[in-house]
Amino acid sequence: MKRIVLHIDMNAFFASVEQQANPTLKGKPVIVGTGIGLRGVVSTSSYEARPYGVKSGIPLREALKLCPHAILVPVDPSKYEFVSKKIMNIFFKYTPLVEVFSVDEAYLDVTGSLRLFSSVDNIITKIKEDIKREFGVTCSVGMGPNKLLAKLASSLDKPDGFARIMEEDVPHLSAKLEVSELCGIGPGLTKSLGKFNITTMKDLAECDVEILADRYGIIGRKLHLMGLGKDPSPVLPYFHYEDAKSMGHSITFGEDISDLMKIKRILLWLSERVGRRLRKVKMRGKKVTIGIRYSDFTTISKGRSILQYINDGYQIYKCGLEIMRSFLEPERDVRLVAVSVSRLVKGIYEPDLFEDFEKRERLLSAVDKINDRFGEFTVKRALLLGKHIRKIIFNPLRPVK
Amino acid sequence: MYFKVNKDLLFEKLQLVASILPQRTTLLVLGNIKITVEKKTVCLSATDLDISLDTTFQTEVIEEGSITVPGRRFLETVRDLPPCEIEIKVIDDFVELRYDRGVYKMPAIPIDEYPEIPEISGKNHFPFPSNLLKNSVLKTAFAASKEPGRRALSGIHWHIFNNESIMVTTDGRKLAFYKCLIKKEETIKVNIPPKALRTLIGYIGDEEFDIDIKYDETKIGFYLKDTTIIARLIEEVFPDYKQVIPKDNKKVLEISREELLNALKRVSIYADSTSHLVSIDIEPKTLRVYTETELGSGEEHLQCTFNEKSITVNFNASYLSEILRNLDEEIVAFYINTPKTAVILTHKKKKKEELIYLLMPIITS
Repeated sequence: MKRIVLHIDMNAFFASVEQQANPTLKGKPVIVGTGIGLRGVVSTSSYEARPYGVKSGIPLREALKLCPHAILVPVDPSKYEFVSKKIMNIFFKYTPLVEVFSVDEAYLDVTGSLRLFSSVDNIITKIKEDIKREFGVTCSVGMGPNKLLAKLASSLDKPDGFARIMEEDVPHLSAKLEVSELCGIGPGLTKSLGKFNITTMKDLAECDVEILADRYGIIGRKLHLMGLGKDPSPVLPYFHYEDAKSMGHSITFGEDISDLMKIKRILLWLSERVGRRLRKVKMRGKKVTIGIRYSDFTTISKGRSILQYINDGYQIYKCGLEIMRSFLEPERDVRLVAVSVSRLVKGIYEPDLFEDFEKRERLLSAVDKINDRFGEFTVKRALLLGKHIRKIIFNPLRPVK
Repeated sequence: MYFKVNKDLLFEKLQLVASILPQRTTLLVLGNIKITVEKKTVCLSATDLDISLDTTFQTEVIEEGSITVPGRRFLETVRDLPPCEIEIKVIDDFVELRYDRGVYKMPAIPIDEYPEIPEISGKNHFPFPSNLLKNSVLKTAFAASKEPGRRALSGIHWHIFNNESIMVTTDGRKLAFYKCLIKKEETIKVNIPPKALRTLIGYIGDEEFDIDIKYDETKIGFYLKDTTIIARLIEEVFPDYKQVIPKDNKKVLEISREELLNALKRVSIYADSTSHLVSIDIEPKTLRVYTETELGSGEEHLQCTFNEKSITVNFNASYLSEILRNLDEEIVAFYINTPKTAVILTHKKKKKEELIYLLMPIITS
């Protein structure tokens, strides 16, 4: 039996949630922006703002020039996550095979649900109704024999639409579809494929798989399948998630900073967040990478492997500080700082001969318990005390998963 | 400067000197080898600012002088020459290397741009048997830390007192301890860069003689007949290793070193490539080495003796194999306390030496 996969993409999700939460925004152009003031970028805009040319990713200043009467709303990740979780729960009514792809997208494998709900159309109608009724959010649904084609289909009819791409549609679609429209092919890969004169899905299908494999390894073989409209990857329910390969946080400052002390404090704050996330999923990592973006957008990142697997924010900070010192140019204005930990392992630890690791574990677990109960950073290092750190840090992060 | 030299002799000396050349440097001249010619003697030197080496040989000298030449290029040129007589001569800003069928020219840098090779001040010196030094370094150097952030652990800790010489290295995961008895009474406690000692033992080979060792507060020097190695000591204090060597590890496992090594080699093919985790179930008469990852699973059963009922300990297979390779008796012993505390690995005690390795297990939760 052929698989039937749905890709459900919430339309203008953040803006719709904001409009639902504040009914006075309904029917008006709403821009949800990240960052502080006008230095940020558009995260999402409501469909009312789109005719003016407001798109995700453009600077807020520019967006407001295009649509001066738009209402600017700061991003509120916890609100979106709350609604997102509830919507995902609706999907589980129709199939256990739900892969949450992002806060506003999911794949559903409904092959096994057809007997229960008689037809795919029935399932789609019901899901759309449920979401619209309970959250006032519309969605676009794409249907296909796999995740790749389902995702492509959902982008064909927006907003509040439905489209299907089946295997037999691939041959006459593929000459028109550019590779950049395929999920998993970003700007870098598009450019690199362009050098081989591969610009459409059809080019990808016609290119010799061995040439692709030679150039891109395993990815090359996957690319060839993508060209043919094939994608064997299963819809993975959240409890089968593949483990993360790295975990990190970054922050763009409200205003550029050159004061090393301030940068250090931000580094500690980010490191503590990364440590906390690692501990939540019982992971540790042995490579720390630091990224710095200067005010002129030149970006440098450097990583270093260490012998120990760490998940303590302070250890991440100490290692990160050493890396940062090795390349940070003094007095130069910094716009963004990023910290990430990679080479992750789950559930294992190699303690250092010279440290009392059980003491550290007890301390971290006690601090985590307090912060779980009374809120993040209730207990924190003294370096993070003070008002001005709160001024710098402005809601830049997705909530801890 | 102008001298003639046999290719094999020059190559041997160049190889030794070039081992000190830094891998990367911002100071161009450090990539050069310094050549000094006086009377009938040619002296080649190199330094990476932490370690410096000079070595001399006798040959036919036509004109005295000194110069520096690009080290690796010089070495590579000489390496691939057939056996022959080579003439080395300074012509203007170049060093010319000529043999009966060819000629090579390398740009030279004058010696006044080359850093001063340090001298050891004071009179502290003592002789030390070359074979004991070689053994000590071979058994310990591999366990020194290679992490740039942990300088104190990056050296070989050498402590001599009461007719005992102790060398210790550790990277925090594993620790190597080698003790041997010596005849001379001497007291010294230093932290030496491993590269200096590795170069030294590589050069002395199997020859047995006394090495004259001089030291002051910041440097240590090894003086051989024709070669001197001077190393800057690592200032950071080596941690108190004695407190981490456990004394209450009463569970004793004895097993064939070779068999365990071979089993580890095969099983670890299936181990996680980041953690290299393998588990060992130990029973009184048998032992099971196993691992299971998305790569598949592997297990092997071996005979052993164990003085307790049973225990499971997880190790990093590559660390464990490295240690087993450095023990040299057929039967090795593991002294274990709990699966979460350091395990001692050793072999049968020998008369005049003691070798102990410490390995921290991997803890799973």
